[in-house]
Amino acid sequence: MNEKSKIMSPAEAVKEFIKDGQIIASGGFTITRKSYAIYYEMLRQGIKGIKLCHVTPGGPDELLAAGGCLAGITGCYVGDELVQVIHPFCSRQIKSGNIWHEDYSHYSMILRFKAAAMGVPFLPTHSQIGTDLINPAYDVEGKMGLRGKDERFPLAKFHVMKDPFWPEHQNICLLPALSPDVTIIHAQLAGEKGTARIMGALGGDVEEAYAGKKVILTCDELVTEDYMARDPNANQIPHHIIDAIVPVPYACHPVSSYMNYDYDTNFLREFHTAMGDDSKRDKWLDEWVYKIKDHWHYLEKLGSKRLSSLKANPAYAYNPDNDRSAYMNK
Amino acid sequence: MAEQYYTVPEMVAVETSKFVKDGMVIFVGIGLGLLTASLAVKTHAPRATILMEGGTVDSRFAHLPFSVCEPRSAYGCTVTTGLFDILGYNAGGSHADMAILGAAQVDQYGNLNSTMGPRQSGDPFDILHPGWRATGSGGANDAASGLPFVVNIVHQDRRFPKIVDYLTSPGWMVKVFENGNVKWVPRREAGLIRGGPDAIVTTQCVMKFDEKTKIAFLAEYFPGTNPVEIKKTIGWDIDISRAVQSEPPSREVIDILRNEVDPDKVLLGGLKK
Repeated sequence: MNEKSKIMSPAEAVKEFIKDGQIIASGGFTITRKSYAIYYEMLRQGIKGIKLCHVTPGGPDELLAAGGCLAGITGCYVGDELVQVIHPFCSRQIKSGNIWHEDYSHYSMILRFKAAAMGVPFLPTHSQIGTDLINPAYDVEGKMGLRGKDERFPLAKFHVMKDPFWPEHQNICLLPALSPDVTIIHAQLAGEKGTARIMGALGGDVEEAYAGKKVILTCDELVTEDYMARDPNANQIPHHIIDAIVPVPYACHPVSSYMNYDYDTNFLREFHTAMGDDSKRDKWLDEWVYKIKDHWHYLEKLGSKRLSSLKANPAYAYNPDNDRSAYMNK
Repeated sequence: MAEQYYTVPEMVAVETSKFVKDGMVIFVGIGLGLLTASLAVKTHAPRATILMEGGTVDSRFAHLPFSVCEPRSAYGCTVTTGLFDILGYNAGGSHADMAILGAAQVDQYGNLNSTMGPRQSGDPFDILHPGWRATGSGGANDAASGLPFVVNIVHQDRRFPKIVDYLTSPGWMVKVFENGNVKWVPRREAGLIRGGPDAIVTTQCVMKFDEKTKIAFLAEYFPGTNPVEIKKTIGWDIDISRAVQSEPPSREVIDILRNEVDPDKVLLGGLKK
């Protein structure tokens, strides 16, 4: 059988799979396993009108917002935890109404992906009960006119019902399935057909991948499927749900990939500072995105010294000597 | 006042860690929760288990993480899994004992707002143009829906309204929406069969909840603060009659906090602006 290879460059993956107006799920978790190589390329290819949805956000939200790619976000958080408590540009755009933000709890988002992954219309939870997350007056996607008009969006944000089985539970919150047009995830290891091995905590990647209509997988190392088969317990995502494999070193720079490389705090500090500063933002985007030809050019600009300083020590899965002083008040 | 050998964030960490009992399974968010739980494990609760929503169980940090899902947060953990297991099975399924959460606002019933509000607290606001935005609730809604929890919050007036401007994590009295009306009901009646707030630890005091009214009262005030001044900053008519002054932390515990828990001053130095 002569299967078409799924292996491609970041530019090819974006060109083939990412279109204006898509719903895109971003895997990883704030400063871990976010496929920046793909998000940079989306800016370079001038993608517009993206609706991001994710279990967990991170810098790509800020990057896509600043690059004019973003229409809205469905999620639970707009920040990078201690690295950037709140994304300054994105949150300003939300306040001014330029980018809409539909608010769900963290677990609710993963349930929505899980429902889509399972092919069921909704899943139940206690989460969000009693709060404004299910206040009908705060239905953002509804106010944006997406319900009943764009079939990718559910007819309601949620549905609360009496538990028909166990009286003690009283009300239960049903959450609609969410199937993104494209899911973008990162794994440390991928087989040549797309079997993926994620090391460290998984976040919501497995559910997001199964829920996606198409899945782009960036990886640190590309290996044979035979090698992946030697330890099948360590693999989480089967090859048949992967559409593109993008094997590039440091695909997640400036964030980390457990066991392979640490985050680049000085870069992150400059990036977030520039995103919050009208006089610096475009200059930063020019320097690090638009004037960069491709991922290899990006790595060349970063330089071997900087990249090797991020290399993880296998005893820790990160670099214990990584310079984190940009975020410490010593 | 005698020379103070500890800082405010240190006092908050020590006071919050007292809620962690040995053997407990604790869900922690990023920030002070993580610092507090680590302190408890290194002092009076060595058999406590830390859960983080990225998907780690029982981590023993060698370096304090910047995120609940970064490589440092998995160091020493016994299980790596995903967010579904931690929030679904452990917090939702009640295979955990408590959570330590942060918030932008907390109200009299221990309801939290982690996300947004109007320019002036108490005003209605347009969800498409919020007056202010914070990071968002992350897993705090899910943890608060299923577990007993303690809140860490900076002590500033605007953070203690009578009713939060936007309710993201459920306290003792919560909202039910019926035919365009909002009704306030006990959390149990709304459908939340487990959990609820145990305490609010601010940078000045500890509040607990009255057994009958479920309204927060002043339980302790930190050395150097006083109940009358604290009352002026609280948006409800807070009962201060039961308040006692907190014991200052021991020098020994402060040493552990500085030298073993956070020697790099990731959290103790305050966030770098």
